[in-house]
Amino acid sequence: MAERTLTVIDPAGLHARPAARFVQIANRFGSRILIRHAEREADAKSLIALLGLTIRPGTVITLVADGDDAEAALGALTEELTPYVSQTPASGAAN
Amino acid sequence: MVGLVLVSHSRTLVEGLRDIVAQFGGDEVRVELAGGTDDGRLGTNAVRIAEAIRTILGSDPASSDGAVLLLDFGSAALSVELALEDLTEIERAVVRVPEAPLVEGAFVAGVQASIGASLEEVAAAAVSAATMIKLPKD
Repeated sequence: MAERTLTVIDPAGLHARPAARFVQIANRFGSRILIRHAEREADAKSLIALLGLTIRPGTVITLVADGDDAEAALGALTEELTPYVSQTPASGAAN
Repeated sequence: MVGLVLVSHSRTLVEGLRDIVAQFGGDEVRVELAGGTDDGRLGTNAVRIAEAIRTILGSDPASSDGAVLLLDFGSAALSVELALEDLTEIERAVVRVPEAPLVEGAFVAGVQASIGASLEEVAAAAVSAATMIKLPKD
């Protein structure tokens, strides 16, 4: 099980373009990958599930991957999100 | 890869939608358009719809990944039904017409097709697009 906590810094949140790209990359890996946001979680391989989280700017998301390629998957996904997130969780943020 | 057929009364509407699919799903997603009438008016054209489907399915429909067709409203449905009647059984077996919104459905189905999903998965993704929320309340 691998995990990364990120803060969304893009003023539009995790909007359609990065979400679509994120789902495409997640689907290249065999691991089960989830995005946790607030009290909810979504399958990172489903665009509708991901957009349904309505991830706003300034919020903290946690990527969780479970499987043989979990670390590689989170590495690739974190890299893809680089323009939209900061690696340091916002201070005082829950999650 | 599953291809998309976009049907609308308006040619320019589906041209713009094709740009959206290419932008979000990628250039490799195959999209065929059937928008407007042959003489450039608003309307739908069953012959053009059947052509668009056949272009996606190619010369060997039985081994094709299939086509997901999305349409706007009103007489588009009648034209699509006529087009489907024109298909052979083998062609018809690999075409899905999900109950899905045209714009959101094309966006989501395009991304789903781009990851190599099956015909049923792409069609299901298009259906789920109906649940997308415009202005989240939270």
